Amino acid sequence: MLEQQAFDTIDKLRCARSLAEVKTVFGAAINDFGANAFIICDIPPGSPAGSKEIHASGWHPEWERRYLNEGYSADDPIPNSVGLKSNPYYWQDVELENVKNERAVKIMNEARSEFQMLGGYCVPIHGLRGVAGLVSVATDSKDWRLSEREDSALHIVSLYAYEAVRKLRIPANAGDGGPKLSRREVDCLQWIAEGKTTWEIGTILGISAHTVSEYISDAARKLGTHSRAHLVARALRQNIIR
Amino acid sequence: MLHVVKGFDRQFSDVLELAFKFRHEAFVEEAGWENLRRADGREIDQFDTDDTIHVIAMKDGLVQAYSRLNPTIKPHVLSEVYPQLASRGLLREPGAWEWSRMGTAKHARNDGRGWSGPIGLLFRCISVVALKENIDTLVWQAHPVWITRASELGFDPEPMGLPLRIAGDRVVAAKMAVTETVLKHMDAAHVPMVEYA
Repeated sequence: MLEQQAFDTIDKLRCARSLAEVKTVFGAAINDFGANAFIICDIPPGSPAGSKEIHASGWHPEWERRYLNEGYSADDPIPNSVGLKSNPYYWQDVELENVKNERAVKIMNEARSEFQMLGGYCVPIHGLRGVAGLVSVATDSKDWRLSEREDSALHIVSLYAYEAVRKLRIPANAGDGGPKLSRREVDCLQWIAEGKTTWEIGTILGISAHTVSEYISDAARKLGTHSRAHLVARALRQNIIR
Repeated sequence: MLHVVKGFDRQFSDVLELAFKFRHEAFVEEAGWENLRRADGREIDQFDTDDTIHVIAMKDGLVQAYSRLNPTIKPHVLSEVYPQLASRGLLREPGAWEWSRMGTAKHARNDGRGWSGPIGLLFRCISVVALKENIDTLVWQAHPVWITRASELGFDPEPMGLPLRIAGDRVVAAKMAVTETVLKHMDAAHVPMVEYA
């Protein structure tokens, strides 16, 4: 039953203890709606149009790589519509609104023809500072449209997925007098644990690779480690990343 | 300045009048809830009773923000008007109160790109009052964006049903516990403190 499944998912997201858990739970939930990929991002306040920080990704890795390398974020009409909408919107509807923007059309066509992202749905996240982020899901089904009830269920489930990620990104308070890493340092470590390079992390978080290196060095110094593997292992053991 | 008025306490009738006029401005004129319109320009309904707690934030003689609290053990908006929002069941407990008519003054709002000061103020006021009045749970129904707002300020809202369209927009009913921790989150988020009048 759709409603019960939505509430079960929300309860799991509220208690999720790791990003991996959030990704598993949300990934499974969106399948029930006919979607097969998702992304959860922050849109930092005051940032240039299109810049986002990705915090959980179920995108095809090649699409993610191309998206970051080519700087698609600046022209992708999907994230750029977040500020204009208070309710979720379908990719097709935004595409229609941006049909004169050649680069926008190119990006959407590539997603569709090369990565079977035939459609999608984006949930804007508005916090106390205004636009905060987005949750976007993609489908490989043609002419995908949810009923009002499914739409409202996916809407609320997505809000909780974003919340779960946000809570987990707040660095664990080292109350035992241990080293306290900044949120940025924790973000970088989280992505190293996912196998990303310094350059990739810079693009994901919208900062320079040099800055990423500095965050990593600072984290390594605070944790007393001398290799990346050691850094990740220690961070996991101390529950700094999960 | 935080004014807390219980029922129709005559001692504070002037502040209460300002509140009822503010509600009319905010909910009838601005939000377009025509069914609440009254000829005398004071927005009062059947859920404004002797048990109601009015939470009024004032500055320079004007209402900055307003909230209403009603006991869930008596008829309240969710139980009487929108029970369909509570498909998982209504909450009716002495410690659980319904938070409704959350409104902020237009002149106090920015364009949404910076801190939405009055929203933080709303949450601060309701939390302070709830803790003082031994209210441990707040029940509310509003646009799903309030789930994000409440979470950002340290609450853990739980939906009482799926969002439904009410008068054209999505509304979700939720409940959330009020604890001292919530005040610490607000402090960390630089939500200003409030003083009782």
